[in-house]
Amino acid sequence: MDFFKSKPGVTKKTILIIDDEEDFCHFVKLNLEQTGNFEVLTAVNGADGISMAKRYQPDLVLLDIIMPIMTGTQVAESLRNDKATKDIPIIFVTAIVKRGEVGARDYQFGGNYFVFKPVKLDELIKEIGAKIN
Amino acid sequence: MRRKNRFRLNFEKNGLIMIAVMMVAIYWVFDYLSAGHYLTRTMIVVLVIVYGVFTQTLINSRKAALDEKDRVHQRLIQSEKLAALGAVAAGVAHEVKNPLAIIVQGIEFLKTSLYNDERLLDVTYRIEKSVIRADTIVKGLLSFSRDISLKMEEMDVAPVIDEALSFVEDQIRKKDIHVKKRYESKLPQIVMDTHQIKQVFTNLFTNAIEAMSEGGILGIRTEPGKDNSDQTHVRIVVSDTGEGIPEDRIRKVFDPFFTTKNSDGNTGLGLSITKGIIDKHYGTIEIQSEPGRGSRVIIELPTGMV
Repeated sequence: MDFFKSKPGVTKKTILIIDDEEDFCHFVKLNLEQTGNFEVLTAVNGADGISMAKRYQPDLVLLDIIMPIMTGTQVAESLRNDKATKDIPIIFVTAIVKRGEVGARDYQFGGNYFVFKPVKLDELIKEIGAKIN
Repeated sequence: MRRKNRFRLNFEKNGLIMIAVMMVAIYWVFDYLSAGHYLTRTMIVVLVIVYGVFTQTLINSRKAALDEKDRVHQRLIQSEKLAALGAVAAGVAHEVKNPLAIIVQGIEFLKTSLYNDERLLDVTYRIEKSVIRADTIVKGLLSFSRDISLKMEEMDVAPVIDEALSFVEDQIRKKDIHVKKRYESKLPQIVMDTHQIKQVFTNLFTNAIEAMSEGGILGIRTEPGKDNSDQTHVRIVVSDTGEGIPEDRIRKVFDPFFTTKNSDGNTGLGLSITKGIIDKHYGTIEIQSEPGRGSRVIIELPTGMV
């Protein structure tokens, strides 16, 4: 995980977490920021997430799939259809259990990156590293 | 209705005695009427015997049909239970996994903050272990709700059994268990999902090993066979010389969450998952047990395309 070892002068990567579980957002933010390599923004619903993505242009979005009002799939679709956000990589962080159980549309809009809850920190960082690289 | 059932049960139980009494009565009446006619008397004896044999055969076949109906009914109840559980599990899984994810992330943070306090770190590791356990249970539950797409291939069953056996080698060695294998050499191949069937045997071996706390013999036998409709199948019998299962519990062993063990990591889902896999392969699974002497699991898997 050399890529994420704290190095003086290295710019922190900005991660946006969109998940209706506020505590999950909070802990992931604490954990990622503690590594010294990330600046983490959080949004607890899809609409806020989309506007934050447009405004802050994060390096990556961690996106829950099953959320009330606006699902992760819809959020991903909206981000992909907007010029300002279409190139931001997305990782779905979902409580849905297996790849096969995730709808085909999610692959289409989110690439092939999924992590499944409950995810461990090192696994999450590894996936983030792979996607940003 | 209940009276009728009682009569039927009574008749099945004492059928032979009742037939014997009836035969004697018929014989006595006809013999009285035809005194002196030897040919007629012989005919009557033959008829009475034929009548007795036919009646008993009818009773036996009726009893067998009732037993079969009872077995089918039990299987139906079992699959209904699993289907209901599957529907609940799918809904619950998402709700449970979210709080588990929060706990895991919380623990991760605590671990990095408590790096110099061994006692508190130990607490976090224990909590983490429990979360993983809860997650395993949820995953186990979900195997009922998933429409598992089987990757079927035609394979010999013996290498699959051996691979499952290799997963439990350590436990076998530790408990001083002797493995007795008897594989039929010319066994037809089975169309199966090897991964799933491997899970079946791993579950069965784990159960057998746990039942033999002070060592014993783990028997594995394979043989060809045919069912009632002439369909060829392969029969695999896994036996142990462990503590066995009491009669009142044996009917429940395939029920989800039913367990005869007290160990911590046991979810009570192993055998119901096993049964689910065998059902998907259109096979059958049966358990016979004698408390104090051991248990036998008999699996029959069809050899044709499924």
